[in-house]
Amino acid sequence: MANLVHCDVGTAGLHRAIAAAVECRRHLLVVFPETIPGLDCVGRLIEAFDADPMIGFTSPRFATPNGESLFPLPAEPPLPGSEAYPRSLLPLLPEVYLCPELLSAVVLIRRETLTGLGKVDPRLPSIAAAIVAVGIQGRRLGYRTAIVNRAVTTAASRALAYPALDAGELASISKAYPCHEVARSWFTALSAHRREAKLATVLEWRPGRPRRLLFDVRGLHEFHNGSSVAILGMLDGIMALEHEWTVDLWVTAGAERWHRLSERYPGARLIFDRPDHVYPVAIRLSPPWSLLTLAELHAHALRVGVVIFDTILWDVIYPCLPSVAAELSATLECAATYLDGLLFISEYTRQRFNFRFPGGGHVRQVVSGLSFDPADYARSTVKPRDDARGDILVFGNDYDHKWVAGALEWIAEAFPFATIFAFGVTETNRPNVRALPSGELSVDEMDRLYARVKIVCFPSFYEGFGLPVLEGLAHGLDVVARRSSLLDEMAAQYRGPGRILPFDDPLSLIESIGRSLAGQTVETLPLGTGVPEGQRPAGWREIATRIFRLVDDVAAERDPCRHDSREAALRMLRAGARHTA
Amino acid sequence: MRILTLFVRFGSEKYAAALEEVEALYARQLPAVDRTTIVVDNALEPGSERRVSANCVVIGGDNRQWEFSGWDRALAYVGRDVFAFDLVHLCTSAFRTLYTAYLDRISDTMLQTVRGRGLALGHVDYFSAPQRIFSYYSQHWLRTSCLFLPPHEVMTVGPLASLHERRALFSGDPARPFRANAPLSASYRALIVDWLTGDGTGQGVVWHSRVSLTEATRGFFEDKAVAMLNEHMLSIRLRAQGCRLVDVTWAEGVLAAGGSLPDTVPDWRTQLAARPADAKSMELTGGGKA
Repeated sequence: MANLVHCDVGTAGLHRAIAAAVECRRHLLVVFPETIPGLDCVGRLIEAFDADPMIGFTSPRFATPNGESLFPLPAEPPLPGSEAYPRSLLPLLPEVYLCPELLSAVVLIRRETLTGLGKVDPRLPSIAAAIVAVGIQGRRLGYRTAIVNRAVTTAASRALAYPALDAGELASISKAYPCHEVARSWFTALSAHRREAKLATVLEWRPGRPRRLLFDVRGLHEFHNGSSVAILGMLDGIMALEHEWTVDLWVTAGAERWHRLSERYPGARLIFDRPDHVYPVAIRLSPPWSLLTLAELHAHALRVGVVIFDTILWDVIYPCLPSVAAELSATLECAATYLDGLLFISEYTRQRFNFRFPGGGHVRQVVSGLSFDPADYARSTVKPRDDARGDILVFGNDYDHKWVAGALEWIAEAFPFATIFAFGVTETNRPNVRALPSGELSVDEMDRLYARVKIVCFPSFYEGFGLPVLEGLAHGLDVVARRSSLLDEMAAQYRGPGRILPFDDPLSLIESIGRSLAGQTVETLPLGTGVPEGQRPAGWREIATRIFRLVDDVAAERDPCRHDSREAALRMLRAGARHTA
Repeated sequence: MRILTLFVRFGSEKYAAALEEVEALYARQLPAVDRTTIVVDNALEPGSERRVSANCVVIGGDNRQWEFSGWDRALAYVGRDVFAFDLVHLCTSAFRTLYTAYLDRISDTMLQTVRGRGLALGHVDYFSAPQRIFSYYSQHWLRTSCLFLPPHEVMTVGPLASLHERRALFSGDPARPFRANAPLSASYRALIVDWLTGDGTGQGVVWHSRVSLTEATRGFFEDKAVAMLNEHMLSIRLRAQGCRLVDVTWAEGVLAAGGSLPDTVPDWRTQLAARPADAKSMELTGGGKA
């Protein structure tokens, strides 16, 4: 069935062994010292030839001497992480990996392959190099190597299991067979390396042991805006909670400086370039805007989730360059179809997202929300409102859907004696309107502004949440905002000071503001109907708890199917991108 | 400790008390175990299901390869939930036939030593000499009528019914039931024929259901031979994937002496040689008999 050659015979001995095996029509088993496999393992290597006539070489997996852990495949450069994986990884591996030539301490060469091998260059400096040369020759005949994941033998060490060629040996091989470099790159690019490392992070964990979790906060920019409030709020909750995870934050250097993240989160490890670990779970605390972002997260984690703020950019298109808009579609479709978890900052956003990207039906979805607790928005420095003079604060920015300019036309005209402070306009010729620079006011300046005004107006057509509504309410103000199911959702989840005054059109906008300023009866939305009696609305800690619920759920999932589907999809996308570049 | 028992039977007339005997074994020797039982009745239609209790369900099996295809049906029924258990217990209604004294040696301590490791625990049977079976040579195996192993081992080994090319084995001629080029050594073929139709394997034990080989009994003979080969192949494939076979009697001796199973489990010969002196000497049998 198989002839055996022990690898202390030299290149000439290898030639004699090949000739002998050819003569008696047998497979040839090549083994290195101290790694003699059992007959059952060899039988399994032989059986693996039956799967495909063009499998020319079979190699087993190697386990630690007690058999309880598996050595990772040789990777260049080595992957960070465990030196050995648990045996429970085995059922999650395919029966075989097909790969180019592999220098392994145990290699079975198919008898048909042996018949096509030529002379190995006698100038090759070692038998290890000669064995690689045999593998190359076989590959060039069309014979692949199969790493048989159902054949396991022990080795004293990983280095003995996968002998490495030194630089001189490699140079000799590459000179004789330049295609070996391509084959090595092929082997290095096998998704199996990272897949195994990622699966091991889940399998190695036992209750009570710490494990590492990656939060991608590269969406945090070097200024204050709604996104930064949301991301920092979630992080505040995450870092305040007691949990079993060790948190790594993937950040930009600019955001770290601007928001002083290392001071704010001393318990977290900040990562600026690329993570040097693989993780069971990675969560991006903001939406993904490119496929590259998803690919990066996938490369470092078995389970991937993202927080979706809204679908506005996809709907309005105009802020995107055409190429970005096209990739945005692909990115969100990919997220909807291939991620492990989607977190939404509101039910309203979840519905908009699912309608536009219906692939998300089988992806775990959680409306994690943002804080509804007024204490998270109103600071202790807030002044009493005794001196409120009936001024109005209009929130927004220069995006059309915020409708700041439109609202100002109506409000400034209707209330000529009120002072109107407005974010989202850069200049105005109306004497009662004061344009404010968006995102540039300090916390104290904002507090003074809230203390001065009586009404916050938020005229936006389209939001994923609406932080200004919460901030206005938390400061005890009347908040006039466009009627929508999002506004209903916010009213139901909020309990505290302030009132929500819904409007439908310019006339009802003016009517609501007018009645509020005059102290007359006005339509308001009922607050806190979704908050259990006697309880506070959800704060950042509760939001973080919801995020961790998803994290724990996906981390407990053993089935690698979703990961593998994502791997296949991203690989095809990468290949497609190279083709069209 | 959570154990999933996959109990295969063909109807409930033969070995009528077998399921109760399994229950009794657990009650007597493993009272602290958190049990779930799937009774696979190969006489029932595939797809049928009857819940007996919160922890026991009877499902229709697959009798094409007797207990082995029945277990495969059960594993498909459980799916990935199998990983929630510490051990899978493969069991047949014939588990109380032939040599059974090893069953009394199974203990909670013994099973604890197997959980989470690359080990399979059962009774080691063996031939006097290695036999060729397909691309393997093998002399010993674990009896599958009562076998414990971690879920990752049973899910790695793949289908337990692994013999799909019966035509490669059998000639169709009762006088010479195996093909001349069947991938079994001649001595193995003879052992199977002797065990199923004659006086056993020359080790003083005979099979309880032996038959005369005629055209009328040829199908039964082939089915039983396939079951024997499946039993042997299961052990071979477990060993090939690096799972060490642990003999219950040897393990009981090691534990009774105050030790624990060594990190590196010795080979089967060493285990059998070290079986406690009070153990009955080897019982060499041909496989599980559902």
